Amino acid sequence: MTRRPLRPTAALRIAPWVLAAAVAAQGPARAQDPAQEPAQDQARDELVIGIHQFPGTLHPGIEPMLTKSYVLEMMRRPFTTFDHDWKLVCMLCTELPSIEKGTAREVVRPDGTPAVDATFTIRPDATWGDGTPVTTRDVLFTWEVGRHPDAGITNYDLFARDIADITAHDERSFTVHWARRVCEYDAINDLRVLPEHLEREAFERDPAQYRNRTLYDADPTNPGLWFGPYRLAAIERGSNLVLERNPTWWGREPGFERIVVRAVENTAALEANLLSGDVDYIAGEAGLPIDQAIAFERRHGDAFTVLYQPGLFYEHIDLNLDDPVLADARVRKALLHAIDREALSLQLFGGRQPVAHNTVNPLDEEVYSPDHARYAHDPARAAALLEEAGWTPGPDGIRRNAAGERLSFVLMTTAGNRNRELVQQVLQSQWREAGVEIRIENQPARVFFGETLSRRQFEDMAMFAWISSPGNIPRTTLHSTSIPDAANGWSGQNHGGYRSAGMDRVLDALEVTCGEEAKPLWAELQRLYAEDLPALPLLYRADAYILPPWLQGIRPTGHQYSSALWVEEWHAGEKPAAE
Amino acid sequence: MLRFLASRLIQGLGVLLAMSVVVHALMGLMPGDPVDLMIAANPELTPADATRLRALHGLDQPIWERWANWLAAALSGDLGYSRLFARPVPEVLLPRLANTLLLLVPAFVISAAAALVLGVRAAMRPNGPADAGIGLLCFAGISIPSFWLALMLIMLFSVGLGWLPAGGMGPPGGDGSFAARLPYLALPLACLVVVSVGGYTRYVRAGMIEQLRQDYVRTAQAKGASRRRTVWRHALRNALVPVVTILGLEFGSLVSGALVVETMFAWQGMGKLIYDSVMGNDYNVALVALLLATAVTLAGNLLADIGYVALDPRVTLGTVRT
Repeated sequence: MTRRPLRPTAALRIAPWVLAAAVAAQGPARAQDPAQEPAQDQARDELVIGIHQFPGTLHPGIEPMLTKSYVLEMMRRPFTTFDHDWKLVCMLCTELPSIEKGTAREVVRPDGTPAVDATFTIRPDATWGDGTPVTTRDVLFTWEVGRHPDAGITNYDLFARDIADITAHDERSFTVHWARRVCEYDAINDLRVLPEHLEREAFERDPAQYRNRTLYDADPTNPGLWFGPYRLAAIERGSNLVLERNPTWWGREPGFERIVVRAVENTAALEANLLSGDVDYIAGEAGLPIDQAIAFERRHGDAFTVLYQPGLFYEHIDLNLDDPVLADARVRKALLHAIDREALSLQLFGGRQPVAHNTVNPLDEEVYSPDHARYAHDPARAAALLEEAGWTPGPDGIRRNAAGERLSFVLMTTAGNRNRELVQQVLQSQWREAGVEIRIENQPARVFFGETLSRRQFEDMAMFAWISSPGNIPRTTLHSTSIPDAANGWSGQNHGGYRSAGMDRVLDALEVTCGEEAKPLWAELQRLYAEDLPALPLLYRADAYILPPWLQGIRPTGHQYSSALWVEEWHAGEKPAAE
Repeated sequence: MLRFLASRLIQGLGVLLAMSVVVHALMGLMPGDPVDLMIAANPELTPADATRLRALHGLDQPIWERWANWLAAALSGDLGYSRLFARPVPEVLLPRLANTLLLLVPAFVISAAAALVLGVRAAMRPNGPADAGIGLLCFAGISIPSFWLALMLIMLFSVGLGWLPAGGMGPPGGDGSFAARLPYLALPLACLVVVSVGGYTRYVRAGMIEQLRQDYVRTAQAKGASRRRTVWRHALRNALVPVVTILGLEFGSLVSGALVVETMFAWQGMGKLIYDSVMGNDYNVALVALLLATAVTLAGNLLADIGYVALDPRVTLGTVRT
């Protein structure tokens, strides 16, 4: 046998693979490094934002999804929203209604129901992109569409149940007659105004077909549909949305002439798009999972800024309380004592996702109370509680009760969600140490949320996250009337079947108690939650925003109203732009 | 010939009808309908809302009734609206189909052509150096996961060398012309060719080796036919019969898309559309897209049958000469 030198042709065949492997291993040779080109930064007039999902319909009221809200918030504004400090602010209105100022008043409806009337005034300079002023005609039309049962508007309950009526006083001011007394009478975040002058025809032709004929999908680049700092200039469905400055925008001039929102569904490819410069910025609201962002920061932290924003995303495990084993509070507490959530957060997520001790996030300062029980990692306490509950170690290390039954649970979550699957494996291992067997059975999100969870078909444990807004009363997740069953059409989100007369009383009282008076009720809610442990709190999820150093002005909010609501503050430069 | 074509057409329509029933039933039996998902996302929805929404989306009807309504509408030319995109189905489907054809037809042609050359070359001297080298490349192409190859191509040509865009289908807001799309086409096309050429090459090689051992090849050479003529005019023609079968079956994938490659390169093709429509209960789109893929697969098989006649004089349409 003789050795022959590698022929040039063979070498040429192999070279790209070696090179690819080298590039993959060592990182990009041409990674975008905007820090090295400051002069060019000043001249940037386009921003390309990478997101991982393309919105379906662009109608603001139909089929809400996070990425759609993110994009639409650059092109339109809500009447009211929560700002970066989680304070309610006016965007399309001039001032929040207030009982003290006389723009809101408590009333009693003819049927004796106490209620509130709140008067809003539309900004005088608010104008649709085609120059038509935003008026109360648009508000009344939006309400008409919203409460039509066939129109397909998703938050139908706001229009059909929460709001009893809307009356217009003139072109700019209108009163919302709430159906009952509500604390958040000044918030109409989800009343997403529609342009009456463009949309009425499609609605009146056939309300049942409105969702298919709306101009938001039939003619989305019509400037009259938008009234934000940007308007839609071009759309390549599934791929790109091209936004350009809206000449009728009344606020501060946006920092970029053009924004391109590019959807790359595979997050590894999205990351590569950022490195290649095809994308400038990956939005935290719809970008990389936290573990990928942390790994990215380790490799490319010198060329990009990574912002982590924990928010109102409560990762937890719902427990099926119909299971007699999990119905025992000692078992639930033991399960929580047995896991080291601090280490889990640190090891898996670099400590970027804080440990959750309750359903209310400490960031929600107005309603958060620190006076509730916490369950630190304490294997000895876990063992003691389990033994007190009658579970003693068996020959294989798994605990058994007097009847010889194994302490074994099925833990389910959304298949393919890498972060949750990682957490699941750590928990399985830690609970094994405590003598608890965990069997993992994951399902696609559609099956998990659409059937298993909503119809309470999970055997023992279901791991997922709740997303909420500041000060949101968790009635639908904790009230006993919110347990889904066939009788209520499987509505409600109390999937675990938590029943507590005390919690029901607190939740009922919170519905009608406002401001400072509500604080003791919030404290009691958190105390009861920590005491009863209807679910096992894990972490508060964080979003990761990956920015080039030249991109300024992006301020993550941590709640479901995205940073894009302040898109006009974004700009290229070394320092924040002056107001 | 006409009788054969008519017979195949009738068979094809029967298959399509059966497929529409199967697809409709399978989608209807999948757990969780769109209203279930809405309820999961919006706890305020009442039983009355759920009933109203189910009626609105036609989900309150039995599956067979939904299928019958769909069929009646489809036969009158109304393919309905996409639930996810709120647009008529053809408006959603046709651009995706065009994108898929733009990517997959060149990939198919290049792969088949390359496989022909490589397979014949490898079969000329089985176990020789060329065969070993080609075999290595083939198995590499077959074995490499397409998502990994896609990522490596992006890392090399977009991130490392900066020659080609990492994804997308053209410059944002561009005119959509072929020239503008060409740089965006290069990497997904290369990825698809690399992962598919190996399999085709192995089929060609196996067929050729089999044919080159046949008596008629020796006879042809003994009669003075050149090696080149024997291989390309006689052996290859016979070796292609099984290859044509494989290519015919692959024809359907031209419209059903390449999900992984489309996802990695953000190429808006049929694969992603079918996946999203099935997962999102977008019945109308999923049905039409899957039926289209079925129809093209059937057409591919028909072309393969016709190809047999061209390749093998013993075969006729409908009967076999003995």
